[in-house]
Amino acid sequence: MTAIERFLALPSPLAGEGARRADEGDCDRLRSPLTPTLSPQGRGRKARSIWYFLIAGLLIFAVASPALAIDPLPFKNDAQRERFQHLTSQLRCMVCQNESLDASNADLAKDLRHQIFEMMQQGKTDQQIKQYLVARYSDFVLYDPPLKASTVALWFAPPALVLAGGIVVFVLLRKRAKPAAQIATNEAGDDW
Amino acid sequence: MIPELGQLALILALLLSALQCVLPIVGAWRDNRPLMATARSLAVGQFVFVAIAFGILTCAFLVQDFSVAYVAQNSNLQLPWWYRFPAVWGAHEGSLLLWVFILDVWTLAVAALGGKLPERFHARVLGVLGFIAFGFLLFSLTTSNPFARVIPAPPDGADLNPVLQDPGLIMHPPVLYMGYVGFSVAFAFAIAALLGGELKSHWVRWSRPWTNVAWGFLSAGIVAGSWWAYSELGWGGWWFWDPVENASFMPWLVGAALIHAQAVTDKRGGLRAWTLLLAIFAFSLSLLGTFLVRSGVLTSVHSFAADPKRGVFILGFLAAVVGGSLLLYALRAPKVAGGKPFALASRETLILIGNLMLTVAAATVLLGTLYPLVGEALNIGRISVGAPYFGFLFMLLMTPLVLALPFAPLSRWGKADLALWKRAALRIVGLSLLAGIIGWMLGARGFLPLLGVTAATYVLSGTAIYAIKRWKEAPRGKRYPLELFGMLCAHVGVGVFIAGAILTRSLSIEQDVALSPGQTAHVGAYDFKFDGVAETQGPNWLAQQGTVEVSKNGETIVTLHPQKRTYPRGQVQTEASIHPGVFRDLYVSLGDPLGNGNWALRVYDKPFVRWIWAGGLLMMLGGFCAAADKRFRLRREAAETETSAVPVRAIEQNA
Amino acid sequence: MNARLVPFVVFALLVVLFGVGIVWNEHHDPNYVPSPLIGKAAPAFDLPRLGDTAQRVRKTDLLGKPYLINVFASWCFACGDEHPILMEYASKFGVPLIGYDYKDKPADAKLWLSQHGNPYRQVIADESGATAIDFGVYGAPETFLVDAQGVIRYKHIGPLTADVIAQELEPAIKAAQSDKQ
Repeated sequence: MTAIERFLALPSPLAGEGARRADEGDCDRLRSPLTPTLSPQGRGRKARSIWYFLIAGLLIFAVASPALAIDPLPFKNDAQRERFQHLTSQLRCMVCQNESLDASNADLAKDLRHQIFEMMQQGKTDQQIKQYLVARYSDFVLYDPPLKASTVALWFAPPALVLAGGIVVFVLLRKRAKPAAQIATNEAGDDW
Repeated sequence: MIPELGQLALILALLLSALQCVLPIVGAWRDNRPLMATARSLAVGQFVFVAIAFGILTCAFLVQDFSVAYVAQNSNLQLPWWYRFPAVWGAHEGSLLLWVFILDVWTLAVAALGGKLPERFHARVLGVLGFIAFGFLLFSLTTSNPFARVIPAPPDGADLNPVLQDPGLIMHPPVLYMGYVGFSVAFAFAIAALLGGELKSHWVRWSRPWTNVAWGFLSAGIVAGSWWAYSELGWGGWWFWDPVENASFMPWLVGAALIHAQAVTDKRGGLRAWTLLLAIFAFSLSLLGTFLVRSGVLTSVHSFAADPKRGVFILGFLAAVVGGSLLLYALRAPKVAGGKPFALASRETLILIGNLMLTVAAATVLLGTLYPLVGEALNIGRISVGAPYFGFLFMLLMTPLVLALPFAPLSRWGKADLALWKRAALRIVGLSLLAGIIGWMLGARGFLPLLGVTAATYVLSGTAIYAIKRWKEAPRGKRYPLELFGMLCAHVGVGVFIAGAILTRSLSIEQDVALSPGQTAHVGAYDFKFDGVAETQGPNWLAQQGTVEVSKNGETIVTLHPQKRTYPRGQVQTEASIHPGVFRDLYVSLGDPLGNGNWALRVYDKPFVRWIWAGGLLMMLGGFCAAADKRFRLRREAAETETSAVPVRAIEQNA
Repeated sequence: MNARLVPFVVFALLVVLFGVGIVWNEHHDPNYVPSPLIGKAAPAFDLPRLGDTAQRVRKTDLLGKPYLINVFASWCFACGDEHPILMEYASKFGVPLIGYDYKDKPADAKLWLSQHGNPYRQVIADESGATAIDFGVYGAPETFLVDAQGVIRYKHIGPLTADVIAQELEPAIKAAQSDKQ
């Protein structure tokens, strides 16, 4: 199925590849401008699918609402609003999985934002709100990978690399270090 | 008929590139001048044919030939002409052709401007570039042919994705590729050095300008992408740590490390093996990035599923090129440490520390980007890695680098000068604290804004102190050689970037408001008066356009017109309206109608956001200036000491 | 020599990882996220029947026998693709199939069911989608198998196919049925 069909929330005329799930028609945003958007799969298929799609396209319109993420909510004050924005930008939209809850236009994202707002009004902490979502959607809803057995390598590899690299650099420096006066200028008599 | 000519041109280019990767390498190995000399003509010939193919594809878009499948998918009758031309690189097949075209531009430049390089070296460099072109041309022709036809031709095409219908598409991919692909030259130089068993490090000086220019382009390309995401996607963000973005950032980080390692090797002779390895890494990351965004291996963040055949092909090519070069490195890299020794508190040490942090940062970005894939492969679940991970670790890793940065120019090669450091440190830290206090008085409260002001001043004042020192101590006419000037520019860029990134993050205000016509929202220090929504239209879209009058203290600053556009195929795109400024951007996005003429709007006040891109552009300028230094231009005498013994043999034969 | 081979070895491992990734992608839905609710109690729900808001169905009403919940909606294209399979298998599952109308207008849902057929023992309506959040639903169609004690034993995301039913759902149903003894 070509991405344009998915983009327009159309069923694939070449069903058998697995029909697309609902609500993905809202995910019309490319995270980066350079993401290649189309990938036709083989010439013959390509030709047929374009034809079918063009006919279908004349009949059906996309159902996406492109700006659901703009969602005025009655915050008590600036601090609460900033807390909400910060929290929702750290949570992943499960429908448009390359967008945060703050930015996603999906219906589910809007529902979850309202739910989070309610929970904030009830006085729940950020941690409790995150636990609520993780209990329903798994860790995948968090952009910040929690430290678990499965993510130990993720969190500890960078400091380990710094340490390892630091040791290598240190050993290198010990080999090279010569005390004091070596002329440091280059050929032009210049320190640059 | 003409698209088939394009295909033929690509096939001819493929053949020429095959010859280009074999003949000169054999010639250099066998010391055969005629074979080595073929390199240049083959490179020119390949360029001509790829240019013809690219031109034909562009024409197909301009005349809207929908019998070409790629044109039918990425254009339509109503697409304005200024987007038909960049639509050529709007999707996979065309952007791949752009990749090859730009590779050939660089190859042509090396063929034309590298005449003063020793013959064998030059031949090897062109041979390596030929091999890369061969791989990509083969990839294009076998799995991603841009000239495939669709019969019968549809009456109208699909359309270029509305997100791509933006000036950013015109600039971002070509500039980005000039950088991305440009690292192939540094790579080719490194491989040529390994093939030739070069013990001396002259080749590093030859490769420095090429590397600096490529890195400069990559900086500009990343800036263009970030600016485009900010203005087009409409959510006020400028970097998302998305795999596609990371794919361009990793080569940039390693490229920065490479530039500094090359400086050390060129001037002091040391770190030869590291310079070789970094050159291989930089281009490997470019290739890896190409693989990641086109193979579909990380489909969770893409909007399409790629053909696995493509993934397998690029993976094979990646394995051959990178695996081969790393094996070559393991076998032939200089084993004996060379170069002049240096003290612990010297410039070399600081550069080493900086390079270490840059390399670990690149490795961290790679780890985070690939970790979800590791999770799936080892069946430990669906792991999510996003901005909180990358942003946090990146800031942590860059801290030592930023701390060391102002001191590196102030240090000396080889020698330690702790007294100088102490004096400079007092001034730099003092100025930074002063800036922090001024920031506090001007209203910056909280850890992040103060950190932003202090860190930026730290870098900028350190660079300024060195610039002033140089002015005072260096003789007239030799104060700021271009290489040094480039360094100052780039380091100032780092300071400006730090200010922009941290201050935007901490001082931005974002608010969703529901307004009826005539109502005003107060966001930050500004008033946004909503004047209702009217219909308007463009070349290939209809829009609902809002009018928002922005004022401060009663004085009108600007009238903004955010839009919601509907394109021919029904896609709806929000076009934010931005009022750019040196010290802050004002930004409005139109949401949904709420009934009774009320509309939802998202309003932003983003201070210092343009400093992020200004910093990046200063770094680009720095790279270009450094490359232009005449000390890098080859003098025939210096180069000839490296030529082969052929001329002598020729004389002997003629005698 | 050994230290110099490290980059090559690391890269070779990376290539293997990518090869696995390409193969994995061929056989898996890239958007699939495993549910954390498997093996946990289904959320307590209290929803009206479709078109008849006076009658409500609660989780407690359904305890004692395993049952299937199929999340669907009239606006969901993939549900339309799945529907013929449900029509065919509804009587063959051996457990009641309960339709869960997700974020839908009751009139639209009833029209859709009359057009496509109604394989469900009963249909409950979640117009707001609030209860669906407790189920971790993120898009239709989704199918849950709940056992006699009210524990979620199996969840399938996406349309059911004959293969999935044969290889995954039916074994899960059998396991849930044999448990209740």
